[in-house]
Amino acid sequence: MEYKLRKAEPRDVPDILRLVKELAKYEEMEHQVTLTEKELLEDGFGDTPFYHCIITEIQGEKSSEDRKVVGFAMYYFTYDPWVGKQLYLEEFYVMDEYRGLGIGSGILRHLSNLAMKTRCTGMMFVVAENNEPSVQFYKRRGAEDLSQEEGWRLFRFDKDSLVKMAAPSEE
Amino acid sequence: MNFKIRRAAKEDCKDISRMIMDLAIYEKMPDQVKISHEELERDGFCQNPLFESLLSKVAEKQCVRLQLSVLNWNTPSRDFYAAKGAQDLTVTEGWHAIRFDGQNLDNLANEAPKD
Repeated sequence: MEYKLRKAEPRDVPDILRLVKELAKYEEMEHQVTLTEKELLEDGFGDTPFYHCIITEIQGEKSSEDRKVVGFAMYYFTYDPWVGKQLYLEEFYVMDEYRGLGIGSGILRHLSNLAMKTRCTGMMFVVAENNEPSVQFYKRRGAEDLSQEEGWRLFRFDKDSLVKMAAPSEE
Repeated sequence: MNFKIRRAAKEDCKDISRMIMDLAIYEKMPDQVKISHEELERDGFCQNPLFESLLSKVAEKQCVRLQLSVLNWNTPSRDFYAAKGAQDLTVTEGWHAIRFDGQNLDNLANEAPKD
């Protein structure tokens, strides 16, 4: 099967949101997705992109069939004050029916190349500990589990907490 | 005591670099600090800066969340963030932080495609 890996364009936004929701469902947290196509479009394809996206599309079997988007990765660049630029892999997903064909490896290879080209010293992301297939997929390729090896825990402040912290103090 | 919070300027990089090292020592990982104030100056204060240094940016850019990592043994920090309303997602949702670097990142970039 032929597949093509390319940079996402504004017209891909509906497919990106569809895959974001599919991944959230796989992670059993789909109720947490409140993002809209409008926000994805503004945030990724406006003056200041907050994310970058690559997608994998396949050509349908009949030439009359539309191309189908079957996988994607969303990433951005972050900064580690100890070693410099990092590529942060935010989302990475291949549709169930298209796994085991090398699409995921192809996406990772492309991102690793990009990381090297842009002088990033590492590629970082989070994985849910109960996601055995993914944990094994990354460990096989030499990834380090920093939560296990160094004791890092992921913390989050949600909107309500942010509003409270940003409010001026009473003093 | 009076103190002032302001945006960092290029001249602050020597102090920022010193504090990064102080924090790394506190986190028991000083040998992992590989960049100096020169790189901070280059990466933070050039045409397209890679980082900005104020919490107010979060509200300004209409962000819905602020995410960070804390070491599991660092109880004062964990308590500080929890008191302000942060959740430990490693505990509540099972997230682990993963990294590919050095030779492993190289290998990934050079992996032969499965055809």
